[in-house]
Amino acid sequence: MTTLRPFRCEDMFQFNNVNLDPLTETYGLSFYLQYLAHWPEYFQVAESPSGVIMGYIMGKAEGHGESWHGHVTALTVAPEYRRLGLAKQLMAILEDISEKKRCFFVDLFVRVSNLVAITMYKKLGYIVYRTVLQYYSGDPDEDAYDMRKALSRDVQKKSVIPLTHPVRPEDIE
Amino acid sequence: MAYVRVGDYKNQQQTALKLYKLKPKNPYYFWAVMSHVMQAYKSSDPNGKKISLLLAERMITLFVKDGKIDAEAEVLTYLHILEIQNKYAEALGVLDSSLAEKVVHQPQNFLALKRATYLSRLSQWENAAAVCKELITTEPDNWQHYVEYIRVMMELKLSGSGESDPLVEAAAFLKNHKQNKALENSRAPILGLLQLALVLHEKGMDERTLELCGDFVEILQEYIRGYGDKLCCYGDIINFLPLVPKDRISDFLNYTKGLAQLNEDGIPINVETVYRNLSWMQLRRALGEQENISVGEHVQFSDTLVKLYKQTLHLSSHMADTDIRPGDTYLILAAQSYLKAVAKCGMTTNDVNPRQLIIKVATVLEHGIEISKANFQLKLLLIKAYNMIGATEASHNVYEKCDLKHIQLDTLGHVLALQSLDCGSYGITTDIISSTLKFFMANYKDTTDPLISSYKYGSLTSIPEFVDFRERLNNSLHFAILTAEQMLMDLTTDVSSHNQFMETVHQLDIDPAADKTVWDELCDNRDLRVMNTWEPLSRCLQESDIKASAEADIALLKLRNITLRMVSAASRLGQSKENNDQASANKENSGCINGEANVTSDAHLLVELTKRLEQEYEECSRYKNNRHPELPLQGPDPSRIYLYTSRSYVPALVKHAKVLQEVHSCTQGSLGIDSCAVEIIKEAREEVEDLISLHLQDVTSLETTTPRIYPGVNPPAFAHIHHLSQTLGLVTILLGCCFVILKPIKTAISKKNKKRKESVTMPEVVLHYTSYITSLASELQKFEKAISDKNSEVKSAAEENHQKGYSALDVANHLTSNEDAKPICEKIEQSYVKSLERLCSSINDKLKYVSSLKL
Repeated sequence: MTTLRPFRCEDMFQFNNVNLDPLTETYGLSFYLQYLAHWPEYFQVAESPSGVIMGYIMGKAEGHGESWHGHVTALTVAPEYRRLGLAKQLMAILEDISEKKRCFFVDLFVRVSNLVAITMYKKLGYIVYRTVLQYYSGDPDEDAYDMRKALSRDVQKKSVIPLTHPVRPEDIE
Repeated sequence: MAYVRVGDYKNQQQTALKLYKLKPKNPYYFWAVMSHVMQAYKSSDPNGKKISLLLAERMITLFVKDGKIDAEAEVLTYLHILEIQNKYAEALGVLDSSLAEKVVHQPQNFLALKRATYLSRLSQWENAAAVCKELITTEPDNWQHYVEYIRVMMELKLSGSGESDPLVEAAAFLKNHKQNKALENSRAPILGLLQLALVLHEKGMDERTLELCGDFVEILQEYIRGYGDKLCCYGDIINFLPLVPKDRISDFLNYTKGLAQLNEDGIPINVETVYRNLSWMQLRRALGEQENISVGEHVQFSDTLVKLYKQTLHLSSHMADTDIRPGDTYLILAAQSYLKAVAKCGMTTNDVNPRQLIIKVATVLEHGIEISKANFQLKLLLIKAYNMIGATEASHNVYEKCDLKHIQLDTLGHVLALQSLDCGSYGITTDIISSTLKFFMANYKDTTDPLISSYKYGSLTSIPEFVDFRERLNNSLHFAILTAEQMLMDLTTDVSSHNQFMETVHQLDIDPAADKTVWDELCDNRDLRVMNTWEPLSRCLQESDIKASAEADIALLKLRNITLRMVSAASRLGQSKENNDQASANKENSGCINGEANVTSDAHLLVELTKRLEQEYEECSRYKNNRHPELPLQGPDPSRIYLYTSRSYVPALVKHAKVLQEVHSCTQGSLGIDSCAVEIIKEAREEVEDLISLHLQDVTSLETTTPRIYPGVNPPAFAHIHHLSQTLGLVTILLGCCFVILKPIKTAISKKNKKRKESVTMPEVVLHYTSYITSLASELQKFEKAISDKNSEVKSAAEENHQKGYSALDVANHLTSNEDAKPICEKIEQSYVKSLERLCSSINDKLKYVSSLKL
């Protein structure tokens, strides 16, 4: 049970209970603001009845021709609000907007070690489309799964035929 | 776009129109429209505001008439302009027109939410309620619809316009909704009834709760039965807790307790029961059951929680490193209770030893963080615990684990930045302040490009929001405080000669004539709600506490800013004649014909600023004569002004500024008239000598050997030493400025003496100044020695502790042993060593500076 609403700049003053989680990156201001400027509808926040930020999703639409797609840039839920289906609701909004934008599919990147997230995305209908080698910098660098879900415009589900070989970050369109 | 960068809305609008005439593209036109809106937004004249908005609206209506609107963003801009003019009927008209069809990329509920808002603003309660009801039906888990529906139905009731009783209708709808089998997994329908009860309560209609909602406690119990095994349960119901009747609290808690399935030893058997057990514990704290327990009982209770944490740890053995452990909340509750016991210890005599207890808290929390690396609640608590004993180097270790970045440096910087400064951890402070200031400096640039993007991509309604956001950061109180503190540090921490001071003050470029701070616009951006608390509502941090704490910080900032300006004005008097001429020659628009005129105005400024400092200090009497308020644990640390005004740091500065004034005026007049200067030198000297001897006691009072550190003793002692050191730094600077003025006089007289071969009397001011400098040097030496002795004492005590294996520790508990506490004690002791070393070297620099000021 949540209030879902568009993310506002001032939410950044109060998103610490979400962003202090080590897996949630806190970006520079321009990153958030560019998303709000380009794709405000894709940046939604979930708020609890007591006004606490429970989580948020940020995304964008990009690509040309049949690769025109919705992309999940960040999806995060504060620890105490996990396993309540919140991520599912936030993803549903992003998928719905992507449908409206006539996207062919939605995709996202996830650390190969993040089993909890991978399992959740699989439940939501996403498949591992390809592995991107050393996508996440760190010590050591970590591979990412590029996960995808076809939308209704991709009638033949061409966007979700998995690649057999991994790709390097520089090969991603 | 250059006009966008500088926020020149008028030129923006004209350029946009020119572009539109050249090439009639909609984005150019709407750029002009939005420029009108922004002109209105920034205009302080209500009429001008109104006209700009009307113009913007008219530009769009013309466009609509001509059928030229084609993008969603254009419709959204139209709605935005109508909304800010409160033209909701017109906005509804837009929703009912074909324009609404252009809104295609927004979330599903977008238009309905807009409609509900407009109807409600127009007091069309029945229609608004119908839209909300529809929204609840389509999105039964979206809480905002319930809140709005209930609010609107209450308004309908109060307006008396509904045919049947709207409250009865609302209750029936909510009850019916709750019974819908398809919504069994939704939390909102149950809470909907509780919300209705809350609104009835707020409107003084409690007598109708039973009839409309049913038994309040039973619904609450139903909720806990359903969702008490989720970590979010407490947060979901927190707003409703004040409605539980006092005489039913005990039964309610017993019921909640009974829902957790425990084994025969009273331990939860699985993760769900851990949460249920925790829900009960959180509720009993929130409902006041632990308000009156003794210090001993707090400790006992915490010990039990730590034990439960340990006993349920196996349930999370399968969890990833990045997940927090379900039982972590046991530790958080325990640490809070331990710290409550620590705070209460001073008031009562009992068998609890706060010195051992604080080490126990640190050990337990360190252990918890080791297991649950992602749990920031544990980290924030541990920072607090270390700060309580002034071990800020140890706090910094945890602070780094929080990985605070960018905007978090503003919202959470309050957890350590100034505490480390006051404890003499200058290295840490410099790191934190420099990354924080870097963030703020980049703000303007970081927000400009997205602003330009908003114009480019048509998300025009974001523009006012971006501008507000940028200004809120620009006016951040934390930013202003850290800027001042950084400058004071630069001027006083490591400066060991007058030349070094002059170089520094030149680089800092402080304008003595004006302070650019927009005092009324300062924003307190601290996030003070991030730490979990389960205290009864009345004991939680209140808005008024936050406001008062920010006001106190602002009062201190005023003192600091005037001090900085005063130092800057002094530096202009205290530069050699050659430099002075150079400076005035370089100065554009100075209005001064020669260096002398400039010096006179600087002298005048110094007098003015000294007066201002005295006045502002007078204004601080409410802080000076009072103890700081005791704020809840999740609140900010006490404002620094209480401590700063509790001793005569400011009076000492004022006196030395007056010394400089008098010395300077002696040089302007005949040299014989220096009795004023002599008098004020005497006073200044006494003030500083008193201060130093008072602070020798602070050095003695530092408790630096574990486990003999009493929480709350070291931070004020360190802070006093820091403030003294900084005040002495400033005093030295002012004396340095005197030196520059007096030196040529003394040299001239000495030359005369040599020439005439007969003695010419040295002016009294020179004699008194010389004597003061000699005594100040010896006082500084004494103070430096005291700190250095203290440091040797800490080092040898730490060594002894190490050799004896910290045998005096008595902190073993169910989770951690005395052995576990050893590295923590070492960390704490090392923190003191570092602080003392840093303070010592800072005092030593002042000694060098003072020693160079002998005439």
